[in-house]
Order: sequence, then C-alpha cells, then structure tokens
Amino acid sequence: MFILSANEPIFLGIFLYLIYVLVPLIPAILIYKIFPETKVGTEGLLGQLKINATGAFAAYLIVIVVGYFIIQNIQRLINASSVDNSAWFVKSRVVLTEKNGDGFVNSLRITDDSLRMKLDVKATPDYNQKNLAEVSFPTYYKDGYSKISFTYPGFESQIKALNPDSVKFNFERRTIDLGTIELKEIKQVYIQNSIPANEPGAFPTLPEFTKPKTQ
Amino acid sequence: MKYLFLILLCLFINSQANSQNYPGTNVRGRVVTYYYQQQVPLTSAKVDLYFFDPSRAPGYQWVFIASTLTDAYGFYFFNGVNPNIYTIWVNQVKSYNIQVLFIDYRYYSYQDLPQFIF
Repeated sequence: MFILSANEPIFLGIFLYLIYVLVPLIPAILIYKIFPETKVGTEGLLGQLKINATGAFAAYLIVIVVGYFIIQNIQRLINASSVDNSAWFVKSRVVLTEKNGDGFVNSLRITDDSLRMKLDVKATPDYNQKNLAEVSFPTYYKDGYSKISFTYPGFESQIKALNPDSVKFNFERRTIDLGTIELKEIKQVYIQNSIPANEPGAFPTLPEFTKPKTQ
Repeated sequence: MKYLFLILLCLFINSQANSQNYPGTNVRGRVVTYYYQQQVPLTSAKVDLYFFDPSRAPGYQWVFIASTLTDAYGFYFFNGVNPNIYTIWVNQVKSYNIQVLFIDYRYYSYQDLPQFIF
C-alpha cells in the first residue's frame, strides 16, 4: 500500500502514456474501416522532421500531435499533485552579521548552541497545532530511525518510535496516529549530585552499539 | 527450632513474592555538560542502559537493556528496571556506573540517579 502510494505518479504517468498512444488509434481504425479508399493526408514539418503521410496513419499522426499539448499539461498536473502535501527536508545556512565599519561581518557572538536555542524557524502553511484536543505537526519519516519526543516542563517526557507495527499509519492520507501521549507530573525534586564518567579503558570491551545483544 | 524454620520459610516466601510483584524501578537521571564554565543540559543525547556480565564470553559481556534520548532539559527516564548494577553509555562515548535500587512507590516516583557530567 505504501509502495503504491509513493509510486502513484509513476503509475499515473505510464497510464497516461498508454492512453496517449492507444486512444488515437480509434479514429485511425475507424477511418481505415469506414473510408478505406479516402485519401486523408498530412504534409509538413514537425520540428526538423518532414512529414508526408496518408490514410489512417495520417489521422493517427494528427491526433498524436494535437494530443501532445494536452498530455503535457496533464503530466504537469500529475507531477504537481505528487509534490503537494509531501514532506521535504529543507537545508539552508543561516548567517547572523553585525555592522563593522561600512560593512557587515559575521557575528562572533553567535555559536552553534546559541543558534540552536534561539533561532526560531516557521514554515507557511503552518501545520503545527497544539491544543488539548490535538497536537499535530509534520515530520520527516525514515524507516527505523524516526522518533518523536514530547517534553513539558515538570512532566515526564515520552518518546515514541515511528514504527508501523506499534503506531497507526494511514498511507492514503499520510498521517500517523500516536494516540494519547500521557505525560505524568514529576513531583519528586531532583537532587543534583553529579558523578564524572568512567575513565577510558574502565572496561575490557565496548558494547556492540550497532547490534546490541539483549537478555 | 521447628517454628523458627517455619518463620524463616514464611519470610523467604514473602520476600520472593514481593520481589516477583515488584514492577521494577523507574529511574530518572540528567546529563549535563559544561559550556564556558556554565552547566548546560545535554539535549537529545542517546542514553543506553547496559548490564556488564564479566562471567560471559568476551563479545557477549555487554547485555543491552534499554535506550532512550534526553529531553530538552537533559533528563532521561527508564521505566521498570530490575534492581542491579548497570552501566549507562551516553552518546556511545562515555560510560557511567549506576546502581538501581528498590524504591517505595508510596513515597517516590523515581530513583534519582546522580547527574552525569558529559
């Protein structure tokens, strides 16, 4: 289902091409059957190609040429419909500058951390909705990697893996229903005692992080 | 002597039953780092809970228990962890030894682990 949905524009394109090739055969066959002796002809230049055809094939050629412009427009609409409402990964480089003499130079105050915490990026249309009835937002899906974390100050955070086996995927509408996310209030005060990390070489081996062995 | 044995047997059965009913300890901890001498939470860090069993053959000593990410405040949570000694790996780079204890859920929601300085 998911494969069909993702490849829909390709199948539509092939279907359109078949119609484009096969439908003009109808008038050609009709002309051939009804008026076998009639000299329907076409003559002229199609781009760099000199055309001089007669009979049913001429009729076929005329419908093909006329249909080309209509088909081209439909193909453009198919392409546009496949792009609408799909998720995209947007990349950019943001540079914050400050005045220095007559020109502007990169601000040295801005670091990776300050940019991550303070830069606010909003997209239009904004599909982010947060109210008590529903929290919805667009996300980028990567099989096996996608996770959504819900964090609210003073409440226990929740992390949901976007796995088709555990959450509801609607492949037609491209929606994911995570159900109810319960964030429990944390009343216990966290005592901020700190410990340092183990020294390197504290263990004879390292865990196999890529393929962890479970119990 | 017979009564003492019976009492000890009852106590043993009771403790076994309690440990079997125990749902595991909910563990809470925080990962911080220092940025220009200021303590800041380490957000979206990968936190892996492992049990190190030296009695196993090399290559099988690390037993994976659970994995999570730190939230916007550097907090992470593991629910229902059996009391034992574990090692937490943060971002697969640094390790911290922790001891998970039995907690009394009438008074506590979590066992608080000490902050990890990354």
